[in-house]
Amino acid sequence: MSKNFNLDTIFHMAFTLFGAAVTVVSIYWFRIVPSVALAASPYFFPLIVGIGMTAIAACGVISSFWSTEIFTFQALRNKRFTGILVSIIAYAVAMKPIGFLLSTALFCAFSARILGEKKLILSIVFGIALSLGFWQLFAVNLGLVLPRGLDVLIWGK
Amino acid sequence: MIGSSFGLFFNGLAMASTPEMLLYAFIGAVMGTAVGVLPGLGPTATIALLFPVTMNASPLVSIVMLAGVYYGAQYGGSTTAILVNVPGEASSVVTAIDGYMMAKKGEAGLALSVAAIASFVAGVMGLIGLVLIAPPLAEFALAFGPPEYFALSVLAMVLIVGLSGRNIIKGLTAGLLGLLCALVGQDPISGYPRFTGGIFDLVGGIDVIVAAVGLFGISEVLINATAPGGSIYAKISRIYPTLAELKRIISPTMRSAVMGFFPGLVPGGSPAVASFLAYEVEKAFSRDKGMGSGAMEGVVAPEGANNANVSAAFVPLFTLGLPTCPPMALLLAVLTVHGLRPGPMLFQQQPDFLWTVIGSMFVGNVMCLVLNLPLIRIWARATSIPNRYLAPGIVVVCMIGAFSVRNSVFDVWLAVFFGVLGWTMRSAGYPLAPMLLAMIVGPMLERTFGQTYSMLNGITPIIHRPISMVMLMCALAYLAGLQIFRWYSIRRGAG
Repeated sequence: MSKNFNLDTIFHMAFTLFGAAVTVVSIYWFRIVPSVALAASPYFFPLIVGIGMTAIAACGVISSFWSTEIFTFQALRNKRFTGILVSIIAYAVAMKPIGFLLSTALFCAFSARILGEKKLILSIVFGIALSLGFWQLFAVNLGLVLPRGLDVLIWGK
Repeated sequence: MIGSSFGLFFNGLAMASTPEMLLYAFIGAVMGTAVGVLPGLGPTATIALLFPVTMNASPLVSIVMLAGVYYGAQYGGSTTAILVNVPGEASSVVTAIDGYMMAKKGEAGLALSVAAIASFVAGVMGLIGLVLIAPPLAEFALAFGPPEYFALSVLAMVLIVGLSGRNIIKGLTAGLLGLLCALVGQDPISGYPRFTGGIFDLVGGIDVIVAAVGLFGISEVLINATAPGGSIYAKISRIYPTLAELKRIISPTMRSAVMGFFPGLVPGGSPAVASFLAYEVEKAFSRDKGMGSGAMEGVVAPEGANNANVSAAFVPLFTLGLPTCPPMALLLAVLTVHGLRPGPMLFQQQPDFLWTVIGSMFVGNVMCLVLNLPLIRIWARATSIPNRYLAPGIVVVCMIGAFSVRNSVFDVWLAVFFGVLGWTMRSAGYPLAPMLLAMIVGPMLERTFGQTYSMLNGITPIIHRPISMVMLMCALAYLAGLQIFRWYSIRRGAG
């Protein structure tokens, strides 16, 4: 019966489990949270969507056995990809404690290096210039609030 | 009726010609052309990224600028497709077939100029269609109640799923995942918080802009990280077509406008679908013109169609409050943030707003033509920006866009999460458009489902209402037809 058991099957299985989890959670809360009518329950619609997701993804699991599509995640072995992925996550995490300016300068310099900029000085200049440029445009010109963190040491409160 | 529509349109055109409106239409057109030219940054991500800019602006100014981004991207998308065989937009994939062949024959400038001219003419024809169709459709939609809107949302979801990829199951899964994302946060009826996992920041729900920034912006950077760097700058010789060449493209342009407009009226009939359809139809009409080996008709058909399609996509947005593609979903989100609720009542309550936006679209198309014809050489140079400088810039703007929605770092983390999710789904063959559209249609679907259920004491009596019944039948027939077509294709392939 089974021709292929590949990443496609695993993805469909993951979505089936996810749909089942939503269904179970919805049933649990559906019984606990009081509501005036069936349709007024905050977990009635999620229950339907959860069941739908489980059913559709389960069909996907079955159909994937006959699928000829092969998906590989070769990018995960690529240093540029993992480097830029890690730097994006680190940037998001660092933005609050160290502020927009410093985190952006560091991220831009680092990611430019990862993506092929050979000259370190050029990467640093690019990082600082982009960080200041965006700060000027969004925070100063357009009046948006950006995370300050350690930036207060540079600009003051 | 028609006369009054055109009267209102000219009134809107006058209002759209104030210096402020012209400036924002110009900014939108320039930004759109730029993102169209640059592969890796589409109009969806750009509209999401520009969202913070619109926070301090009026809804009119915001929508004029963002609409400019959308149709500007259709103009710019052909540049890289023709010059370096790398489509700037999905809708320009077909343009690359003949456009790149023309460039190889030394006719890159001519290909770019006929693409811009066809885009302009078809875009304006699409606007005329919008002026003619939108008001009567809005009047018809006034008869819609919750059951009709529920059926319409279901039909929209089904059409989007069907047209967004070869695998229906994956499209449906992506759509349902989007619906589940839309369920996070307070229930629209009772206000009860759901699926928040005790995280206070999730009580307000997952913002569509944050999800779009991640799904379309960050995931694109991740995908391009492994792409080979550098780009080729093609030399451009003659730009303007001769009179004979102009005469040759008149009929294909008219056909492309028709082929682009009608798919734009239905959900899922994206510019990419329209350009493909128009190309196929043009192949039948221009058999002796050498389509596929560098014919002007092969450039005109898809480029005209994708612009007419953009104009048409505003019809369901303005009249039914229904987005038919991700950029429209974001425009709807922007309008909602500014306190406007697109739908049939908008034509009665905010006619000045609507007709000014429509008028500005005409002005924007003129601007795009002006930007694209004489500045072709400059846009072509933009393709030489290396990814090592472009990608960090895109990520930074993504982060600013996500943060600015609620001034929350949590939204930045969410955007990164959606970026990784988007990359994973794209790598596994799951389309992202149904997911984003489900996120925006989700609350309407849930609200109308609840209202319909309470109103009719169940969901099955919905079939006794003619409009909703027709819509649901269409959705079912479409899904069944797709599945039958797929089985037939597999059997024919096996045979």
